[in-house]
Amino acid sequence: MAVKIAFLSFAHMHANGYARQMLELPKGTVEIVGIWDRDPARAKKMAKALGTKAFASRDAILAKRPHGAVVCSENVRHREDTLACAAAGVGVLCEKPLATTVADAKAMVEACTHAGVALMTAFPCRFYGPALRLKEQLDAGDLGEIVGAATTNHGRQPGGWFADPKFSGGGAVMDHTVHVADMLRWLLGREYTRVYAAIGYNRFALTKKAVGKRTVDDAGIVSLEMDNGAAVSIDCSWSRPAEYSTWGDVKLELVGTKGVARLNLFRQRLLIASAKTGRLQESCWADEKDGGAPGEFIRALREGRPPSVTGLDGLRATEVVEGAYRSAQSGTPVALPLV
Amino acid sequence: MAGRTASDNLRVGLIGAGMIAGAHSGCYRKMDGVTVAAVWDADRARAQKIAAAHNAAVCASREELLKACDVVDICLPTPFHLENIRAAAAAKKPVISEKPLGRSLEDCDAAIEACAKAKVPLLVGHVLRFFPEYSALRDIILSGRIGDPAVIHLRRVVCSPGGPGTWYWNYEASGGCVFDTAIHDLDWLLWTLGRPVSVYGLGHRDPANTRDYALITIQFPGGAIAHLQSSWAHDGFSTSFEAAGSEGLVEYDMEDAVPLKVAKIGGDAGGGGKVVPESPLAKSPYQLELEHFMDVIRGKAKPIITPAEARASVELALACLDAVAGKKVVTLSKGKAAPKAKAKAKKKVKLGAEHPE
Repeated sequence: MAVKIAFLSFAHMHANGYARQMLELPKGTVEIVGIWDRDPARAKKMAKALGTKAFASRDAILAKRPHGAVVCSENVRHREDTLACAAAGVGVLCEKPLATTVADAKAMVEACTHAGVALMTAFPCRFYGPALRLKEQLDAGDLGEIVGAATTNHGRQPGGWFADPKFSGGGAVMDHTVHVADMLRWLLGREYTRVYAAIGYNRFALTKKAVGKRTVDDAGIVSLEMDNGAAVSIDCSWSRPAEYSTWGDVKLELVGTKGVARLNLFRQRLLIASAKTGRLQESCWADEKDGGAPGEFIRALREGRPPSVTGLDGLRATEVVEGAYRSAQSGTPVALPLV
Repeated sequence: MAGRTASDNLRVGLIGAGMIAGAHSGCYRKMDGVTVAAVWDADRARAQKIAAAHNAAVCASREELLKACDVVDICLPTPFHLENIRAAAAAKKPVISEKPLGRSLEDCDAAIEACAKAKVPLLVGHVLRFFPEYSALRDIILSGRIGDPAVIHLRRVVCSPGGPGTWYWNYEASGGCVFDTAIHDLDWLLWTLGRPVSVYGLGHRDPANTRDYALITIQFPGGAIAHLQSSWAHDGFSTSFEAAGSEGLVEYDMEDAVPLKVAKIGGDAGGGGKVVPESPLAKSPYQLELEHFMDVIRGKAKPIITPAEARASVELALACLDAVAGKKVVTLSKGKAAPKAKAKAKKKVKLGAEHPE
């Protein structure tokens, strides 16, 4: 029997990728029951593109009793949409960041636990081949104990609601800290004990263009300590100019007692110079194993087990973000966990 | 060379015959108007090796060396800089000292005072200022080509510079990777962005296993954030940087900037091929630095690195050590910005006649 999936909002364009990944799974694995979106026009457009139905309300689509729902609404609406799913007994694959505050994330985890439904945070980086290969080598002890990690998740100013904290909860620190923060917890099997952040607001021309009179953080160096004392830094800045060859990067340099690893997740690429674009561009062929995060979500629902990436993972990453903002505000490190 | 006379020649006395002395020695051989005349090192065999390449005297004491040279080049571990700077200054010899100027601000002040009193130049080897990629990055930032600098990454990773028990792993002596190695990047930051507001750091130190590592965040008055990755825990030497500004981005990775790689099939005895990467320049940054120092000593150039700037680099490096050791924020006093090389160049400075400050 196919796993029935509802899509709640395409505010985050990753929803499109998740839908395609689900449709690429073996035939009969997934049935997309439809799309609901606060923007009805977007729901119609995406329903047409994916060959499914648009629903007029969240209640109406949840009344179709899907097994799971993909929540890709604006960050601040993740809580509301997830809680509605939990109340309807529907499992959730929620776009990252799981929530914009630890309180919201906690409420979501508790609601899903209470309702006995799956809650998975969409952290796709865990499913890329080079990341899985690195995890294998770390687990085998090839690098010894990891004592340091200098990492980046650069991006280009995404504009739209991402640049409006009323909907996004924050800028670059909210958007681009959680991927690597989650990867390191997963790769090293360690928790964070402290966070310190240096954050800049409206530092880049693209941001100034996107935000009008608002201010949003677009530069950040987040420093973290892990429970073995390891030193970690994450550059989450939206620092790629429009003229750059690609949207950004995910890079990790891990220093262990027995060796060093440098991971550049999207380095499988071509460089293209074209008069049609007027700049050098990258074309990346990195892929995700077994349908990536959506594939894992579907398998977890089928097998009635918790997904490999959980709501708690999302909560821990959200803690890093909330701690980072608090630290930048106070100018001092903040102890983790927050809850 | 044309017009060169014996009296133009500067005789260098090398104090210390270790790694950096070897690099300097190679440069001196290529330079006009400079000869290595004397070498002194506690390890006589080591001194002999360098002296042989120059037909230089191997000295038994510092006094002997000071009598045989016009310029003193101190290539010793940091804690030995001060006493040798003092001795050279007392003998009225211009001083070239390896970086960092001293392990403490007190040492720096005493060294600066000794040279000022003796009116001899004190030239500190912050050689990064002569690396074309780093001076170009500075020029790009100062020209405004990438707008207002926002986030700057500086990465300098090295394998253990010496085995366990060497002076490098005596933290009190060397200050570890941050004080001895990242000080290059700190000096570049001060040179380019001026005095920062605060420093935060995390790290890992395990001298017994020759591992030292630090991640440092530095914030500047205009809002720029710098991030340093400093390591003596890697498998080789590598540097990279990235500067993101409001209007653009510059990136550099030493490992991508290798124009020549030669691999011999079968390689060395025992099988596998060995790739030898090279990035040759007409003149090495060390040679450019030493030529500049000689120009300063001859009164032909204003120093690119002043003693006060070398002191400021030590001050910032000490703040970084403090931050990393305490995993805390260290706020820097407003103080005065590191003074730039003074504009009034001494037009006709005789050898060692006046201190450039």
